[in-house]
Amino acid sequence: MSSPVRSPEGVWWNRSVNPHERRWLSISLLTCLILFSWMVGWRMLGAQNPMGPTYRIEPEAWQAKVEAYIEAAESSDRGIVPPGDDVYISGRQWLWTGLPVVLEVGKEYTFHFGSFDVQHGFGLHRRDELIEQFNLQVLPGYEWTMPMTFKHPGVYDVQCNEFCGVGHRVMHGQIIVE
Amino acid sequence: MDESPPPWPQRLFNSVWVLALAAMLYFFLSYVLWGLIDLANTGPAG
Amino acid sequence: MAIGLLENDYGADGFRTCRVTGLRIHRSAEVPVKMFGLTAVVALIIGGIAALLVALTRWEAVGILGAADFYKFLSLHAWNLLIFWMVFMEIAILYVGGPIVLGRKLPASWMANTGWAVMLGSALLIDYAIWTTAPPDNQPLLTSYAPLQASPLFYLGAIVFILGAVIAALPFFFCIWQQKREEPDKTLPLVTFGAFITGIIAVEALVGGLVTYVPTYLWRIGVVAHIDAAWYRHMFWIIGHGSQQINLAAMITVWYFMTWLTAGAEVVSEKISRGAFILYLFFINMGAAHHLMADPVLSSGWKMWNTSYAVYGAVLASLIHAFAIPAGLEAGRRKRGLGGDTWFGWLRTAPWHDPGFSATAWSIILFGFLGGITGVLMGQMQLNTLRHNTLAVPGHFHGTVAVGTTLAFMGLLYYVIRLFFNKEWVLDWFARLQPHLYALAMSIAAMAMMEAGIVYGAPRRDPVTMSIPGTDFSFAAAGPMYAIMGVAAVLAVAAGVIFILVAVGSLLFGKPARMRVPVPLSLGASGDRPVHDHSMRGTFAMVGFFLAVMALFYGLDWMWLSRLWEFGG
Repeated sequence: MSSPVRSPEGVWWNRSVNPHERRWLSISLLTCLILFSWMVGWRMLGAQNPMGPTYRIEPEAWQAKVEAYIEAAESSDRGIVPPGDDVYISGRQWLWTGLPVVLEVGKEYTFHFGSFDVQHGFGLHRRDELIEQFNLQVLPGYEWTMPMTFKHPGVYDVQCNEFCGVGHRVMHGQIIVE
Repeated sequence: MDESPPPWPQRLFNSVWVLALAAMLYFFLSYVLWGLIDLANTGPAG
Repeated sequence: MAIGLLENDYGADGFRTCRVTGLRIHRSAEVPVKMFGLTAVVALIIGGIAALLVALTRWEAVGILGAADFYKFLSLHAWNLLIFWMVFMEIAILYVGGPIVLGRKLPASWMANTGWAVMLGSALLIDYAIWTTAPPDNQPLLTSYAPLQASPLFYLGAIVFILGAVIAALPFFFCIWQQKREEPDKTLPLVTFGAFITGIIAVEALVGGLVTYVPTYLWRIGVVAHIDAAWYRHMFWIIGHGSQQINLAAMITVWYFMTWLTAGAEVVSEKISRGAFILYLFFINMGAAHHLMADPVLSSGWKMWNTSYAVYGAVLASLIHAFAIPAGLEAGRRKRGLGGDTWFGWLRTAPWHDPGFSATAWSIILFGFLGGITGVLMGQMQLNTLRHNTLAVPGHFHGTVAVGTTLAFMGLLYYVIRLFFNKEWVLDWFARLQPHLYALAMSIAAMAMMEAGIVYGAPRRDPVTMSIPGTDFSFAAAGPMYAIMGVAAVLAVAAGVIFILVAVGSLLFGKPARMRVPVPLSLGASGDRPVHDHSMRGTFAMVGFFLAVMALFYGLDWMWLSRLWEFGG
């Protein structure tokens, strides 16, 4: 008997394998190759990838950059309008600097994510839609740049979803796409 | 006992310490070192 | 009384022979198994109480705790269940898989005692640190992400706990070393091999923990000036997810053991099962990368290679075990003439009334469907952004560790009580019911969390999401899911209470054990046909169905992702 608590005797390497098990092995291998190729393929050809150049930045330099951006931005009653193609968003306990922001639908922006203090979670949801959301981790000490284009106008709510202190539940912001 | 020695794959599967060392080295290279290289290659903002 | 519980009827050489399994068990191995097992159950109780309070808070209609207390009990829940309940059990499993299965003494057993004491002391320190955390410190939760500082005693406790676990694990490795030196040509039994793999995965995780917590502690007390957030996350998740991979490997080892012990399973292919364990050995800890998919800094090459466990090498291993274990049960039972020559009779007639079997069986099924599928999907680099930091993540890991691993460990404990403590189970009907109730309730709770996270994007780590100050946006739509989760969690805790009552009641009041298992281990010891010759069509059908379900959700997830705005470059 092949017991899991006894040493298998002799040359167990050559014992035959049940045909169902062998077939399952092939199916499993194929599954793994599909899983990997699809993910790599989407990276190369797909429109949604959590990737973009990251830069180290000192807290004071990041602060200065964000403040300069807000200075240069236009104000409106719905939120700031970016001066160019760059959108700066920085988390701090417990609000999002740079939000609310008003953006143009269909235009590619370069988002710059960072934090003034601790780690935050940039959770973005398209209002009144189910499942349309994405989530990024936002770190202090780094400026994460990422191209982003909104295909639909509307309100997009931001809610911090990384624990950043006891008041973290109030950390809401908005992106308005027109 | 006149049994031939087991084939090399069986002996490899039985070489638990070699496997353990190789696995730990592999993990260090693939996850730790490569990640640290990515970290180190993160340059300063323009 | 406690000392009496730890004792058994040993010969002059310290060995006794188990009348059920025939294993030669030495006192030096059995006593620590009992100590670690008992301590694990105490951690389960503490973590379970915290679970109730956390669930009744996230069920916002009840909302029992305020924010500060929520984060305190969430941290206690995480550390007592995810770490203490698991790691104390896993040291016990190493001692069972090593010296007990091999019929050897536990070498340097003073290290087992020292390790236990250090682990216990540091666990209490961590609990104390969480309990007394006050500003400017923050609750650590599980992750204590720098630079959000936690209490210095917390980091110290974590470091010492890791050292204690390393000390406790060493005697297991010494035992394997001695065995291999004395009989170099003998193959280790599969359970011992699985325990060894578990041990090495643990070493990687624990070393990663030291590399994380020592500098962070030094930063917290002002010796080190700066902790880089990206570096912290990269290092932390070695122990953060690595500890969960220890759970996976230990659980699978327990599955092989328990299906054999309670229901007539055999090993259908040593080579295939061992190959799968070796794939785990090399690749499983790469899965720490799953937590870093939505992070800056790391290259897409690093992300995709590591998140996939090297072209899904470790997933291949999981798929292999997912077949091999039920197939071992199917072929083993067919070989013994149990269940007739039908597709699923072998499963239908299995000892579902036996809590050791039923807990194991539900663990196998539900780990795969709930935890496994969601894990593979969320681990894909792009799909991860749909779920990162939402309640779907706790949904996933309640499927893996609260349903899967916890049930497996409960099943094992039922038999530790019977075969090691020599006590029969009290409250027989409750014992029979408990694994089914727990499996059902905890599964529903996990699925409710997944739904809330997937459909509504409900955040994790947030006690009040249904109204947000300063905006009319909220996650109020997730309210019904929170309620379902809350009710199911209360039932799951009740099932946990039943387990504790049966376990503790048996230890205190149980009659001497009826030394038997549902399928006598001698039955089918020599058959005409080797086990791999028997049909495995039932298992093949089940894993085929599993793959179909995974494919369905895979397609749905990618479709949902494709409908998002465009991001990334």
